[in-house]
Amino acid sequence: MSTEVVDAVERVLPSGAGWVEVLGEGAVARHLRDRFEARRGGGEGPPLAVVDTTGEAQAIEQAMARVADLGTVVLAGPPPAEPVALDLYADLHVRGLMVVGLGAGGG
Amino acid sequence: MRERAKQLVSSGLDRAVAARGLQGADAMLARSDALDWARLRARALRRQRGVIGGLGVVVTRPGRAELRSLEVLVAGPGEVTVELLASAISPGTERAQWLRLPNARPALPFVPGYSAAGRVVARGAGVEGMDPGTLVAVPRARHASVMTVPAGWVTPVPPGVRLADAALVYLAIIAGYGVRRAGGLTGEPVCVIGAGSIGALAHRLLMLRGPGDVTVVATSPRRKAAAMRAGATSFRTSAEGIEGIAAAVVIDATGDPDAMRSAVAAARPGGIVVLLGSPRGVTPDAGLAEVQSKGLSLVGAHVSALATEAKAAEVDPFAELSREFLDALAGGHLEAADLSGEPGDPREAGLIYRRLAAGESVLGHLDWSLLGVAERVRHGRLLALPALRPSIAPVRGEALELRAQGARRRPLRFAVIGCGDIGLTNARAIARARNAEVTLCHDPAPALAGAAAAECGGEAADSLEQALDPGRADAVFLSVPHDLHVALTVRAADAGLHVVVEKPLATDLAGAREAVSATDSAGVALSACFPFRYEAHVQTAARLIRAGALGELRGATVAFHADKPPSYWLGGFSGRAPSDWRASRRRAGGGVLIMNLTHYIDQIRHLAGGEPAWVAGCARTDEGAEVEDAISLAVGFLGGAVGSVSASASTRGAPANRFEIWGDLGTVRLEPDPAIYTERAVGGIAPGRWTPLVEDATDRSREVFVERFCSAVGAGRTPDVSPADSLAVQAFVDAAYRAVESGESVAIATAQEVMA
Repeated sequence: MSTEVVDAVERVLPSGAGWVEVLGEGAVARHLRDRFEARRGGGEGPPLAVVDTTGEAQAIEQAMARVADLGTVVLAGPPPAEPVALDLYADLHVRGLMVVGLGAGGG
Repeated sequence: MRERAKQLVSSGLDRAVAARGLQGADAMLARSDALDWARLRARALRRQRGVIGGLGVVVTRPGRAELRSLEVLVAGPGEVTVELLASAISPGTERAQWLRLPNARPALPFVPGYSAAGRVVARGAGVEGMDPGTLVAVPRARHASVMTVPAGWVTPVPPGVRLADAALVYLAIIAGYGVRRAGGLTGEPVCVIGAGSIGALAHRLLMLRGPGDVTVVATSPRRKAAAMRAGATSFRTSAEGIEGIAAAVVIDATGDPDAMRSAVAAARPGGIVVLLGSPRGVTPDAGLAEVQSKGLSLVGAHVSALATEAKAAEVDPFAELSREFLDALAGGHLEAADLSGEPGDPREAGLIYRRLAAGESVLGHLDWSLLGVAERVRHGRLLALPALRPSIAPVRGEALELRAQGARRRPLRFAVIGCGDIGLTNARAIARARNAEVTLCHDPAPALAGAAAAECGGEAADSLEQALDPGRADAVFLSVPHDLHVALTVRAADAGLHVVVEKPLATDLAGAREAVSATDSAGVALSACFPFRYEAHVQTAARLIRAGALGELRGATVAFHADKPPSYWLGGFSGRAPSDWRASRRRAGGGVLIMNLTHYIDQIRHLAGGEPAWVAGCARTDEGAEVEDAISLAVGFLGGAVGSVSASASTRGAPANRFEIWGDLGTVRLEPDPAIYTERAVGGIAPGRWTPLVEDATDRSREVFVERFCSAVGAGRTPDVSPADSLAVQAFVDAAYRAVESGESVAIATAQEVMA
């Protein structure tokens, strides 16, 4: 299951340079960190992509806050149980972010 | 040292602003203008550039926009200066800025605008292919008549493309970026939510990419025809919902923070939702659970992000999107005439924004060619001094235009009946009128009649019978105690004489009806003397109101103050004709209402067509007195306008009167300091500012009244102040007194109802 999620994340991540940050502590998060070892940290500025594996509203908000402009936030955790309130203009629109859901179940 | 210099400049500026009497927001604006003036010249000197002037729409404070002078540097290296001829109105953003919605609060003052098209008037070094005269589309342009921008921003307008359509270029770039962010569309079902200008442009641009079925969702069914014309497969209103759409791509162009849930719901699993409209506010639930469970991609498409992309791009994506739009227009692949809409007058920007704010669908552009070319582009401004306040040309009075042209073959001969204070004033007006003369003067006090005849002409008549001699007079001007008006009107009419009555027509409505019947039966003219209509500034106001300066009548305020001395009640202001009739309810008909407020009621009716429908109020009467000393009335007008009308005959110090009439588009202030404010570009006055209406220092209103009456009689037409007008005012007085007595509101009879 973890491998499938990791593959799915791989598919939706933007190609090319840029580093990836993974939020969460579970098995999926660990696998993702292993997979994207080469794209972890070390880069300048904010991450090009942030993968959330928790499905928690607070973590998702954090992911959107941390990702670079024009970056991608991957929702790789379970669907958020609580509604996530966003200022879509400031949080997503003006920065040109992409928020990608991995599909039912997530991680 | 530098700080000290700044302080000196700042304090000097404050003094200059204060010396011009500017306060509050006006003072801030003047300060801002002066600093802009100085900064621009500093830059001009530093860069050795000229200054070019024009006009721009400036939002000066919340809810206020006006056309003001602005200046720009003449194009330097890599730049072009463009005379803008059409600037597009972006309803979403500009409405949000006008309403100061979240995420749309530019610092005041600011020049709104987005996108325009015009003609190159200057190009800097290194600019190729932009000869003066080249028509160009200018993204990021403001609502202004002139602008200097980097040459890379502008795109030549292909032949055959209307400038108004080309002016949509920046909106098309924004919409085109949203479409681009959606990725491949060929054969895919697409849903566009929102059909304003951005939504409609996105729809039309995505149609160039060969999508599958396209569903357009909009709040209003009015958008359906345009959407279907542009190639939509189906159309739904928001109320009809989005069930079953299942689009591969959903473009949310609403700007509504709550629309995201619908957009997410309209996407099929694995689909893309492009957030194109700028949401104004927080979305309590952005639908991320559904984004996750359906495997959607939610994409933000704001022009700021495009600017970020452009930094790393080999080809400027702005220029690409601009060309794509203009080429589609030129090739006939995209229609935009309905989006560029009707031309609006830049002077009426405030009105256009007000309509936008009210939720009206405003698709249009500002047409700068409606302004004089000399105002649009002014060269050689480097040495021009700053204008700390906009010059506002006062509007001169025009009552003289109404004056009789040349003398009648035979002047209308007047018998002046009653030669007290107002009688003498009226006799003088007749004597000065070009088509009237005083032939007889009569007063129970022979000395008064003699004095009036000596000054104004004619002879003193010893008796009423002599004064009513049709062989020596054609008309009478009655300036007698109110209770004599009706009886003398009937006698004059019986003698075949036309009748002018110093207002009011009678002490009560029954008497007024009798006077009108008598003159009708005798076939002679009747008019109550309401001369304030003819004051120069009132006539100017009337002209502007007729041209639409006020719009729909919304209300009127009258506060009349006099400080009549006790002697007034025993002989008027001069004491020439001792009598206490003014203090008698039976003889005068009332106090300050019938004596003074009637003039204002006539003007509200005359100027703004305000027909009083009901009245309520209260009054105060001194102990032992018969007529009211003060009165306060609430008035409702046909059509829903409201009025607050009050008067006092003993306000110590007699403060300035107030008289204002306002509509949904403007306000006229007739007292004190007459001036008009309108959002309409009418009559050559500047919208969005108070324009003074010049009063005539030598008030000729009574003689104009006399001349107009004589002209009407000569032409066989009803006088300007018609019997119906006189009856309407009398009906108001009658209802107001009944309302005061009963403590309840009273309906006011129309003139027709009175006569019926």
